Amino acid sequence: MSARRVTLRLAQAWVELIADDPAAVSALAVARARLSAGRTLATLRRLRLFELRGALPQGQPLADLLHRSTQFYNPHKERCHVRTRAREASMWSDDAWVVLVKDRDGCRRAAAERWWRHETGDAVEVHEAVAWVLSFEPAGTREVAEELVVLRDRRHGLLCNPHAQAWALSGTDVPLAWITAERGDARSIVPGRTS
Amino acid sequence: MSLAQVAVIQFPGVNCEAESVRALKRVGLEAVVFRWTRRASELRDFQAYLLPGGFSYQDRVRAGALAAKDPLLDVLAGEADKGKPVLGICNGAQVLVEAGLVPGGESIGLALATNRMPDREGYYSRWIHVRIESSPCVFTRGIAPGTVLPLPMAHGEGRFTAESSSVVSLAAAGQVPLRYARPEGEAASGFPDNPNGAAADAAAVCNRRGNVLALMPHPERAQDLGALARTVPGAWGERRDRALAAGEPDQPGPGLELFSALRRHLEER
Amino acid sequence: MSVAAETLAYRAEDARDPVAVSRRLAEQGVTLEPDEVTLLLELLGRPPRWAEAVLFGILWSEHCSYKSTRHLLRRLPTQAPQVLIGPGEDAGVVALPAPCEDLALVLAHESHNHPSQVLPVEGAATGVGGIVRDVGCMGAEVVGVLDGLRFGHPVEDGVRARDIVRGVVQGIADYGNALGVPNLGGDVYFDRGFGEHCLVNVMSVGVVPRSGVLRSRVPEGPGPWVFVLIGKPTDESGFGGAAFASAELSGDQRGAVQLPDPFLKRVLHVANAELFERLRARGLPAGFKDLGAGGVACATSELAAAGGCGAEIALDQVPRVTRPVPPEVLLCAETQERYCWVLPESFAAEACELYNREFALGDIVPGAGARVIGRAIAPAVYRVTWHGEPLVDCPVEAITTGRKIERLAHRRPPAPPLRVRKAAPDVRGALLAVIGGWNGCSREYLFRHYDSEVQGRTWLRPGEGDASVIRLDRTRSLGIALALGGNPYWCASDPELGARHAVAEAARNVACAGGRPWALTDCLNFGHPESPEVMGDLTATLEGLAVAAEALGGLAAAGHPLPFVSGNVSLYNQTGARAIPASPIVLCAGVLRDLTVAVGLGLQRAGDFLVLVGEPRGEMTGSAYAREVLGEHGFGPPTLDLAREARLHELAVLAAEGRWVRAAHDVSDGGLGLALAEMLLGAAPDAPLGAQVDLGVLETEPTAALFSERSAIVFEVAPERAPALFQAARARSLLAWPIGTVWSQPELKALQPDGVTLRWSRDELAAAAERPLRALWNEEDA
Repeated sequence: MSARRVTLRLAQAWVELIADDPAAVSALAVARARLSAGRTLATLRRLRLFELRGALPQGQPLADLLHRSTQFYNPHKERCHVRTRAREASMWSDDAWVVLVKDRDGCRRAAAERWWRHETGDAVEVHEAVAWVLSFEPAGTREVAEELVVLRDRRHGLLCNPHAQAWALSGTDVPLAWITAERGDARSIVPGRTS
Repeated sequence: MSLAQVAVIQFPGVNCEAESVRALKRVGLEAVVFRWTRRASELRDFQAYLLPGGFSYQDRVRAGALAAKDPLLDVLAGEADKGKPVLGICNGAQVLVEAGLVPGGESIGLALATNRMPDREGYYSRWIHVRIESSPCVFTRGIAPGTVLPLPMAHGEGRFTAESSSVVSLAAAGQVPLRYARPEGEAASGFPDNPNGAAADAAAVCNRRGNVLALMPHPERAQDLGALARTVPGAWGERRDRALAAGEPDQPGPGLELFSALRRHLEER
Repeated sequence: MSVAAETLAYRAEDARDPVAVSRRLAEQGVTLEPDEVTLLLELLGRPPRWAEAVLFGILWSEHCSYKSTRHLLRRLPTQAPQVLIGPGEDAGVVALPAPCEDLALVLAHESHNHPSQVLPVEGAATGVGGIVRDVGCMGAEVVGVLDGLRFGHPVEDGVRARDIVRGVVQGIADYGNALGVPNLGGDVYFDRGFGEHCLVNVMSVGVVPRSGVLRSRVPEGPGPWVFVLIGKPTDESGFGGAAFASAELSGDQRGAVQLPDPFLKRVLHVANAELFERLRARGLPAGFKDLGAGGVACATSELAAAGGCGAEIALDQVPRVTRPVPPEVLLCAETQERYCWVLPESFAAEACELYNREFALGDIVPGAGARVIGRAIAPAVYRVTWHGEPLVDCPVEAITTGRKIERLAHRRPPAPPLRVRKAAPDVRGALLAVIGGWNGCSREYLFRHYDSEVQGRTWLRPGEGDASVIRLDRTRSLGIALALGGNPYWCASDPELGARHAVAEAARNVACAGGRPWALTDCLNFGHPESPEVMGDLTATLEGLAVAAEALGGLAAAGHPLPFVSGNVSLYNQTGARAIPASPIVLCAGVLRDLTVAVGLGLQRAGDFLVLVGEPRGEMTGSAYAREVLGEHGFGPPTLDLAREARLHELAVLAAEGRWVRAAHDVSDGGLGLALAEMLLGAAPDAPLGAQVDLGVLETEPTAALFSERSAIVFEVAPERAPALFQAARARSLLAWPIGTVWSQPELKALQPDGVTLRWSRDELAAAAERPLRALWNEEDA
């Protein structure tokens, strides 16, 4: 063998609609109009987050693989940011809160994993969840953000129904392993800055 | 006596208004489509409510999540507290669960999660069987427990689930008035009898008082006996075949039983 | 009139070299052929502005102008007493018998092939979105959609082909389910010939009061008439889509695909229905048209031209997105979910109020709404201005000037029939191979993605019968049966005979369900029109469609053809020298006066007789058996006697109307063997029903008996009704064989002439039938 192929063990793909995301637009409007914690919500973004674990190629080959199959995203209407290092420039403003919402019963994407194996011969784990980016004007506390996330009643919470979904809240220094940080309850993962 | 008026609440994206109105009218109730742009307070003039199926607000965030925050739901919750009947079918059920009207109580107590099915994901549609359980629910009033009804289901997020094992407790408390079952009434044996993996085979959950019901299958699509799926066996299948042989397209189908129960309830009040 | 030079697409002196102008325009996204460069100059009497070049480029594209095929399409029969509006409008309209004589049936059929290959989910969804607009703009309620799908081979064409299958099905489901229109089935084939070019044909069905049909034109009368644009705010999406659909796929063309929104469409359709009611209640005339290829420009100019008047459009009034979009793009963009009304000026404000306030379109999609964008004028000129500046100014007759291109056509000899010399020894395994093959397997996994029940009209669902049946009006007994035909192998090997079979099969399916074949629609999916072989195939196909339609119309109106009332041509399904197989896809709509007689395909009762009626078994040519088991590809279809075929349809309809039969299934792909297996699998899952047949009755060897695909129907008939069926067959000189009975074991049993009995259990048939599509969706080895 000549050059040793450098492989990664973990990567995130952040996928966002190029146009305004209708779910984010509607959720923002509803939160501002109907939820007390939502009055100071200034912007809301919605992204799909993939985490891939296994022997992954580095750099452009990884981006190209994600680009090739609609298993991950549709380049016509979505853009994809690939993140492979924990320390890298933040994708959002410093005082934003990033919320991860995932299905309690697992977010493995078996078809995507099979596709990957077909294409590369490598076994990877693919997990998918939704991330919401909340920014408040003026800046909001962790408590306010949490109140918007967890559905409690018609006046409190919207983004996560805890009966079916798990959630995690982070500052802008989102962990590189987030969906798959722990195989248990995602709520225990609360890194990031203090509020 | 004038006919009781039922409001069929139309959020944008709802798409089962017409057949829901027809089902209500067929059992002798008056039904009006109540559009989301009307004043919420006008809802108080009705004696009962139906939230029909469809995709309110395009299922954004989660199915039912945005309609659940609409001011109409505050009025509806108030009327439900007075004991007026509220039926949510499919997307309507998702709205009632997300709004906390079902199972009721201080906070949201349930979710309708994405279907869990072997070898497939997403939206799924087929005819299934439900068994009537002993319950204070007004929409099964007068239907003998153990009765089996064939109904069509069609959804992607229909799995009743809760953080703890509370769906099982709800069933024990009589708040699961319809459960997925075998055609002859035995307990469902997994998929596809139970088409979405719902806990306790729950096809519907009601509040404690029994006047608010979140129902995933579509009774309004099973109102013509002759239109029953050809694969429905047993007693209902024989009734279907007799209706067809008699050339009677309007014989009432199994779905109308739930609407008739509503009419009985409204008459007795 | 003087026009500033920078607003011109080309100058008069440039046009002396039209080839160079054509090439330069193409680089800028405008498609005008060299002779069209000259023609446009002549029609306008001056050089065209950019917006005019864009507009005519789209109007004269193959997609809009049918310039290569319009004159050939005249071969198809379109006249019959039941036809109210034939081809030419967005959709065809046919009259119905009692008890629905006050209603009319609306049918439309289109392709969305190229976009679905590029972006399967959005492409297919937009296809459904477009076809329901075609029906909606006739003033109709949309009551069903169907789809004819042709995909590449799931294994040999790789993961891309599988991604397309999954994406297209998801797109159809996402759109139709959310819109609240039941999916009434269709058909699907997999073949390498479609690996580079999948076919997504979409059909839509509607119902309209016969007196309430809206036309796509400015109504007669003094007006004054105004144009009201409704729906999604116009953006740049899909710009150039019409030109795009008329050229070979190359490079990354994802930008030309539109983004569909079934949520907005649902609200729009509910609001439209309300406006239809108000117009009818007040007796107000109106014109209505959907916006498709060419956007605002094509819709408004065609509304004016069809009404014999002119129009002035103020493009700056068009509801649009907030970001800046060039006016040429706004004029012709294919933004989805838009319609254009022509209304009396006195009514326009109320109409806008309905959309903007009562249905609050702007709350659904920011910027969506209704707005007056122009008016009809008496002089036959079409003018578009942008803040007062002219963008388009041309005589209406320039717009209606048809383009016609005579293409060379070379008809190739049809492929010879296959003469089977060796029969495979393993007959039992052969049926499992056919039912476990990509084209013989169960479609259930696929259609369970679709909502087939919404609206509460569905009577016979996909998988339950040879045709789907809906109750057209929920309070009356009339049923509409719908089914497709178009075997791609037969059309590829012998386009004319294959096309005859396509019509015959669609109509036979409808007749099996008890429907009287009433009207047809079609889409002709072909390669490059520049290829003489492609045009030869197309000409042969039209001949075949026409001959069959002329023979099979008698059950609607004696002595009349079965009319084609709507259709579409999709060309350029070709990469390099490799065109797709000639692919007509035909929809037949049938009428059941009493839908309680509708016949399904599943076995019903043990003890019933199974009777085969139709052509003798024998020919194996073109069969799935030949392809899947013998590996013999490319041979011609079986023979077809259209006069006997018509009598077979009549028998099926009489058998249903007389309630003689309990089930009926046509013998086509996979032959009698697959037909019987499907009847067995179509029975109630828990019912212990099977079939036992004696192949010796058919007086041929077992493989021919089980797998010949000559036209025939298997009936399940109660013993006491069997004499009526045999007598009716004899009266029509049709051959009928009592091949066996329904029995109370979930097993298919076939006695061979040599005394050996073949057995297949229900479970093994089901397992084989279900495996392929489940494997495809789950990326497992099939």
